[in-house]
Amino acid sequence: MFLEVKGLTKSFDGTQVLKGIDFTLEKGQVLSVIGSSGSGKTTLLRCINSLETADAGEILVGGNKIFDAQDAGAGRGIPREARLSFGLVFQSFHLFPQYTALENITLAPTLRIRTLCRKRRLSRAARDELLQKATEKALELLSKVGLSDKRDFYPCQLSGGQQQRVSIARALALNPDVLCFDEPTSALDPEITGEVLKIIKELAAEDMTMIIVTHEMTFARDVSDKILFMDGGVIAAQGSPEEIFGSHENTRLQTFLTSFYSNQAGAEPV
Amino acid sequence: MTFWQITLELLHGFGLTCLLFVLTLLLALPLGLGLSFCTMSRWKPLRAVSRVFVWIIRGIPLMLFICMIYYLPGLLGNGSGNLFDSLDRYFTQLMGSGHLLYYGSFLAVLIAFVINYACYFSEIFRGGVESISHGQYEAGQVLGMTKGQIFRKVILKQVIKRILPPMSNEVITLVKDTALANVIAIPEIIKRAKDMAATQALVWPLFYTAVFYLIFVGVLTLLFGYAEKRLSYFKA
Repeated sequence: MFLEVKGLTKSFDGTQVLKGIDFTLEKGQVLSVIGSSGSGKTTLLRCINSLETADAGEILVGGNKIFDAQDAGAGRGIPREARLSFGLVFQSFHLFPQYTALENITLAPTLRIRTLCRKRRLSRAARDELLQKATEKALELLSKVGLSDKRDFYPCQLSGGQQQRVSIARALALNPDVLCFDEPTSALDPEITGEVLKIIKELAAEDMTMIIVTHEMTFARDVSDKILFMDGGVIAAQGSPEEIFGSHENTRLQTFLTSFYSNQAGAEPV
Repeated sequence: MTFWQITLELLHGFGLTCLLFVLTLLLALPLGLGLSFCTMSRWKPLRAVSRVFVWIIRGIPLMLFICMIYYLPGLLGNGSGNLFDSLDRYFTQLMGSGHLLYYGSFLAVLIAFVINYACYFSEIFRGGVESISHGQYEAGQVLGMTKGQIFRKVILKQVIKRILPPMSNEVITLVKDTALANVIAIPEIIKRAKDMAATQALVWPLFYTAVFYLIFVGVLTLLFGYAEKRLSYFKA
């Protein structure tokens, strides 16, 4: 198993939000996490990305232990390198407003390269070469998300969909093993969710390992290899899209999907 | 006294006003930034102490605070007289000056100004830092940036953009507050104009001083306007 999440729990002020989450994911697979608001989907993603420290549990990527609640509890924080196994695309983008699209993508890699070169006492020429490569990679990613012509635009000059595409490129620039999305289209107008979903589909076709928290059921069914249905802090059901969207025996899942489809009636997304 | 002699005399005093202004800014800005980190600290005792400190300093009239700094060390000591006054005499003797030098008193005023303005600045900084969306920090975190990198490369510029308007307000207030230095006889511009009124029955120089302040504040307004324009390329 490429990604293993074992026994993850998390409480906020005595309220247990995650009550023991276990799942695995193969390399190159896409996992969608669905469920109603407050079911713990976002908290799960935030724990995986070390934005929250889980109270118990472990996370392994490619057999390496990325997170162990026992270590974290003992005050040994999460090493930054481990954190970079995961990338995260936020619901509301969180691009850095004072940087252009290109600079948003190159900022973190540039800082990493500079720190690395200082530590290893690399020559200026070697450093410049690495920086040059980082810029080339960023330009490649910009063209991948279809925004080569916007490289020098500031976030405030871009539409929501364009901003989200830049933020996907920004996350990809650090070569994460697993790319996570937290409701990537929830802050977007319905007409432009398509352009973001298209990019994610392309990434899936390139065998990028991804975890997507989403309310786009049709999209989840089309793009995923595996689906988790969360309810009240536990995984209430999991399986292939066919199993989940077929007639699953879990009644909570059935209620959720029924209410979802009745709300969506007449407005079938892409 | 001719108009030019009076202008020159007032300019002399205004030089001191400017010196107090510049030194206060240079010292109070970094001190205020440090203080703002204390008031935002996650360690409760530090946060409580620094917030009480800010409350006290902001609650005391600056004129009174200048007097406190100037007189209290002498009163609390062994009664051997005023510390800053002694410094004035010491420097006068050292330099062999014919009239009393005011270096010691100036130091007292500077200390009062720096502490007072550091407190005001710290609250402006705090407001600026706390207004930045938490998502900016999280975006930096998931990209593997260190806390220092996130603050310097992502947060700081957004904070500066946001605090420019309140900062320009406070800085302009500082220009005019320097006039309070005359309560302990620092010969800044107002003190000199008042002396002229007292010794030569010339009242108009006192009103004339307004021109100096207006020009200085005008220049500052332009500078802040320029800075705001320079940072208008992004929305934060």
